[in-house]
Amino acid sequence: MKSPSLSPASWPRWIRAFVFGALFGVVGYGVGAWLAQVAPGGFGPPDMAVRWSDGLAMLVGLALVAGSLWALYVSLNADRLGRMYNLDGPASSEETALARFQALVMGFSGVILTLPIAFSLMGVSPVLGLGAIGLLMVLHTVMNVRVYRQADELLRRAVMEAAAVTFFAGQLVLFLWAAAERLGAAPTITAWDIYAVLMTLYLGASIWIGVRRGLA
Amino acid sequence: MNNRLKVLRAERDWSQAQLAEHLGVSRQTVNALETGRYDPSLPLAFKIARVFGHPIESIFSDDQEPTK
Repeated sequence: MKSPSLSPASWPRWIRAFVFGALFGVVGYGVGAWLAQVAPGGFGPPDMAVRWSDGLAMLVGLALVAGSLWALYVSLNADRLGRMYNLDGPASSEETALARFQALVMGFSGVILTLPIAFSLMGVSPVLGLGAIGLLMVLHTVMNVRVYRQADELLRRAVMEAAAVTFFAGQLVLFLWAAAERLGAAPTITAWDIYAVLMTLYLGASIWIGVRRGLA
Repeated sequence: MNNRLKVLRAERDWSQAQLAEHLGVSRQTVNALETGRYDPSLPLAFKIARVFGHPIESIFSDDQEPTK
């Protein structure tokens, strides 16, 4: 008789979700407690001014949300979706469901990208804001992994190519900036500035690769 | 890379959906292969060869030589 497996993969989904939630909760509490000891008053006042990187991030976030809404609208009609995806006929119900899920993930990315700006301008407490963003990031990662697992080799290749192009373009831009900053020829930039530039590059690379591979 | 995928599919009177099902990929992938926008991985190329019952080199050729 085969003995029951004890590996996490064999546990029911809700137990795994509970265990991972509890684990992340403990880790989050530990990090929060440590930060409260290290910097009881926080690391500085929240940046209430709108920076150029906020504008860039808002632009990318809005583009992602607009793209998501457009894809959801197109998915309401199977013929239209088939044409958008270069298919030789109307999209099937499976293809429609997949397209809608991908559109939702894209829109969700846009919302998450704009949240730090919104929270900062609204004066939301860092612990609360970061906690909410952390939780949404976990959900977003799970959704992204699901998209990747459902994808076939063309979509996976496109994702990897976009990531590679983003890395090489990003390191080029970052090196130039870092060199100028080190030489005193450019102002210091923040992690948020770098992230906004990175996401802009990734959006551009994804669109370019998607069009080249016939995905858009 | 050139390929004869569209011709071979037409010979069997298959739709892109039918070929996609045989290969275990999406219709977008079949379309991208047929239009030359995407070159398949080696495992997928072998699968294509098996599905059509032809050697790989008779289905795919590089840009310098015409397909056999």
